[in-house]
Amino acid sequence: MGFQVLETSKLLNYARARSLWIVTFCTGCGGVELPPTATARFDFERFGIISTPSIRQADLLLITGYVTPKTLKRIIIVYEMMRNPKYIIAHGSCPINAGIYWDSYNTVKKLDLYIPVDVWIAGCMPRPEAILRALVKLMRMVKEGKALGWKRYLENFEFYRKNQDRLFGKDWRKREIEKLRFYIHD
Amino acid sequence: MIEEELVRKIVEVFSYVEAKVKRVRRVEVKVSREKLPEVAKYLRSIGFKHLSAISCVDRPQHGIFELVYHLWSYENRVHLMLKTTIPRNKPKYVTMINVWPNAFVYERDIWEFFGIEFEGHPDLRHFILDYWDDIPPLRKDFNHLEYIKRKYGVYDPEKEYYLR
Amino acid sequence: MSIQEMRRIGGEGSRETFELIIGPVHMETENFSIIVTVEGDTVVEAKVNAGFLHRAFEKLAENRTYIQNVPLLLRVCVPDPDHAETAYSMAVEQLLDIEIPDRAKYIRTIVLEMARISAHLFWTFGMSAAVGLYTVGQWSVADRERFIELFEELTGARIYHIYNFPGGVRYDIPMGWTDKLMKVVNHMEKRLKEYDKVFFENDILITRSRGLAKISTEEAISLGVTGPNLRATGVPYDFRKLDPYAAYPYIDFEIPTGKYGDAYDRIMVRRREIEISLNIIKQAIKELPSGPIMAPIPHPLYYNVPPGDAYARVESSKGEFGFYVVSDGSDRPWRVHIRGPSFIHGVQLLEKLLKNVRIADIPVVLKSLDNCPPDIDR
Ligand code: SF4
Repeated sequence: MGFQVLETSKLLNYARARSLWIVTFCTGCGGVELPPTATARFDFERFGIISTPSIRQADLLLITGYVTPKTLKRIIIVYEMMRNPKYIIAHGSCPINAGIYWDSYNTVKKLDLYIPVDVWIAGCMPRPEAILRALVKLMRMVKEGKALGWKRYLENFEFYRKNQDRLFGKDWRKREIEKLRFYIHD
Repeated sequence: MIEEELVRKIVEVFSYVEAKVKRVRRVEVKVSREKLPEVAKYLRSIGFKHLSAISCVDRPQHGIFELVYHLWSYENRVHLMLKTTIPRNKPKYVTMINVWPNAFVYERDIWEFFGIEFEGHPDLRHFILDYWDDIPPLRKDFNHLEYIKRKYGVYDPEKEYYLR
Repeated sequence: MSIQEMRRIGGEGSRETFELIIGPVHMETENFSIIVTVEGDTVVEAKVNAGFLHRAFEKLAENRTYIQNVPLLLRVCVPDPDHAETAYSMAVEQLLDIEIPDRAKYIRTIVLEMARISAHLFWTFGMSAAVGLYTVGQWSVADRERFIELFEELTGARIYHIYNFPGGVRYDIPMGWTDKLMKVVNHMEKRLKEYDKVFFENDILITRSRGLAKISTEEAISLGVTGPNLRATGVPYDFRKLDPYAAYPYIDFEIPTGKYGDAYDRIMVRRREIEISLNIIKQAIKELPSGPIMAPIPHPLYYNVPPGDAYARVESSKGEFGFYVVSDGSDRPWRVHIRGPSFIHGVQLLEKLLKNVRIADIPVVLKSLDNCPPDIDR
């Protein structure tokens, strides 16, 4: 029942499209173009977009560039902590196919294998105009009920989970907690 | 010229070092690995207080690692490269933390990326690499394309670009 | 498991110690995390957990030609890429033993100072958010856009300019560009006074940063601290003067210093550096010579470099930025070592300065060091 309402209610979709809140988590170079996009010059607040420190209340996760396995763990944890429905925009050529870092041993080559992405922005360091365009596009998709990455993630959880486990090792979630403990006692 | 004076002074004190002027404000001093700590202490006492960096260069064809200590003297305005070599298998060296405290981060970095043990370093742990499961990555014999193929499963130089 | 969580790890009653994990999902830490042990709300111990942005530049550079490395290595420090590309170009120039033409030196100076200003304005945005004065952050990013637009006209790109090449600069200055630059410089000079009123002389900033996280000159030098963080302790050590490059030896400028080495001094040194950079730009435009912009290099795309090694450094907006390039005579470097300022400021210095600081002041300390996480991880 919950699903049905989430998908079909036009009113809800309309409301959602007008208040996309962003998690303040930037990775990679693209983060440097976010302050201009957010502040006076380009100003995405006029679309009802605002960055929030609380993961639980955010709808939109921006992946602003290359992703290393260490960051990807945090991205997955953050993404799973966000409430449905949730959306992802990936900036630049690095999340698409690793871009200039294609032969680097520490960047993830295809982000799509690990988490679902709704909108991609091409270009090496996408300009603020491109970011705005992507945001508008995502708003339209949300309004029409087409931004269903979160649902893809739920339905194909096995697939994503398998890829994540292959990259990080089987029980990486547990180990992540262990590792933080390691810092406490050393 | 301050560079030549400096070279003369260093060679006078330590007859066993090889010192030369590379170019303006750049001096190179080569010293064997046993003697480096005392030369380092002396250099610090004549004004080389700022350790810019420690670089490690892997030279598998000679079977050595080269360690380069980049020193800067604010009074003389000279950059001095203090070079030494250590054998490549089971690499081990002494720490320089007592001479330049910021050797701490650079030595940890070299331990992580080249696998050189520094005796006396208090905190040799993985700092940047996360669960590293191969030989230290900046060594020349680390095959990064092979590693990418294994870890990310997407790159194969022989066949097509993406496998999946 | 949550990203930011507090865990009790010991102690009894009022002397309980907790562990607090700050970042990477945090506004101020950007892309690295600090694990602090707190007693009450005072930090007892801080440990930096970096590596979220490690891209292995030093390995990648070994597999690319000298020219291909320019667009790669400038990505080391994202808010301030021009200094990285210049330092690398200078190291290659030392290896090739070429001297760049005078006009290229002056253009480099102008570009580097513009980069310094835009990096400092970007930092102002972060700093203002750290103390909660958001207005000036909006202004400074908007003013930075003026410089970015000029960059775009000159180089064709907003952030990654790929402009300073081994041998000189890539394009000549377009017609009328210097006039536009002068206009922006004059605008900025007026604007700085408003910044002062709203931000730099604001009581909130002063009370929050005066006397916070002090460091003495000896300690700073022995830790390898450079840049504004070192100058805030009262010594005029600036590699633009000490190890001159580009056109700095021909230009007359003073070096701002602080007095106490605390957070406010670090902030004010940066603030005054903006003013001095504007002055340098004015002088450089006035004295801009004519002539070629590129020294003859062996081949525009592909050349072998004689064996040897070279270390070149620039004074970036954050401190000493150095490249150690080793060549074995082939067309690719044998080894490139990157010496970034934040590798010291963001790790050892930060861990030291965070001791005995209140939790609420952690962002202020962090931002006053102007630390750049991509440069720690390389
Ligand atoms: S696409 Fe370009 S700008 Fe974006 S993260 Fe990759 S290298 Fe950086």
